[in-house]
Amino acid sequence: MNMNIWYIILGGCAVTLLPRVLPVMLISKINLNDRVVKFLKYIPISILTALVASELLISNNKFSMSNSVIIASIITALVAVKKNNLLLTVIFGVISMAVLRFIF
Amino acid sequence: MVEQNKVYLNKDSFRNGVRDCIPTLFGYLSIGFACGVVSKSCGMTILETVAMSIFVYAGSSQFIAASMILSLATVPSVIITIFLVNLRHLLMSASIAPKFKNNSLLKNFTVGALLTDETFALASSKLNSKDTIDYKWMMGINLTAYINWVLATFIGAYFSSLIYDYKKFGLDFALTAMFIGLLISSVKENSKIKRSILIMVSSVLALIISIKFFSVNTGIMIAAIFGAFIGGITEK
Repeated sequence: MNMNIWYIILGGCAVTLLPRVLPVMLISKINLNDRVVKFLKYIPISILTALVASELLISNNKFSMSNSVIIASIITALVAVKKNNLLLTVIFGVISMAVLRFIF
Repeated sequence: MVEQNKVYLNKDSFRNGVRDCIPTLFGYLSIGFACGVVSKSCGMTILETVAMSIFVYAGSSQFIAASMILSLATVPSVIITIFLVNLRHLLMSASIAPKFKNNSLLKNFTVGALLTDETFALASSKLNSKDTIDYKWMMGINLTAYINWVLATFIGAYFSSLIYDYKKFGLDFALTAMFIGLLISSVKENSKIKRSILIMVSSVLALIISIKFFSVNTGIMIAAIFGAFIGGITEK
């Protein structure tokens, strides 16, 4: 049995748990300055943009784009704009990606 | 009569959380499956893979940890990497905090402990419409996502010997498609479209510039902070 993996699991548990629980436990108990509240309000849109961009524009820490991923993303985005349905958006995205891989 | 009504509403709200989480299950099922296959092929046992999902519960960290375990990286270097890859949850946890003001510390511990990219995005789509988020609703989405992830990695590790070309079916795109869907719904709910576009452009530019100097995960943090900062200062 490889004990190292268990040490990694134990340590990994601590370092992922603390950043998750501390802000929601502590910040919810204090009154924040208006500026900070405004900043926190825009975290979702900003972080989701960064996550999407990292999936679409970056591979192996370098700027790179793939045609089929870009086209599938545009189709996915159009479905998301037209229909307010996350499941439908994901299904359309996956199907268009599969079709594009089949064609190219 | 009123009491009964209340109890019913609370139950319903947990169930609503479960229901609201369903659209994200598909994406994480395929990623979790892939994560299980990769962990197993990097030399981890099924038990270790599932324990990693239960205690670390972080998709991208688990992929990276598995490959580092294969290359015999030292224990501290793997733990530090997991910390950095997952540090963005610090921002997510801070961002939802004002909506959980009325809960006890213990309740907020459970809200934070199971926070992921998807449950954060689902919760923040409720942020604009409501002042507070129902605790039971949050536990509904959190627990559904958690169970789904643990099961998916278990199935992946268990069936890892079967050759399964999940990329061919476009399933690897499910996660990206989900992020796109969540991003667009958060843009839609924000009334000022011009500011949303400004934030998105700032965030993308910050990401592209910062990966010249840092890793992608650090870049995502910098981009998130910069984009939100631009949003904050342009609001009067």
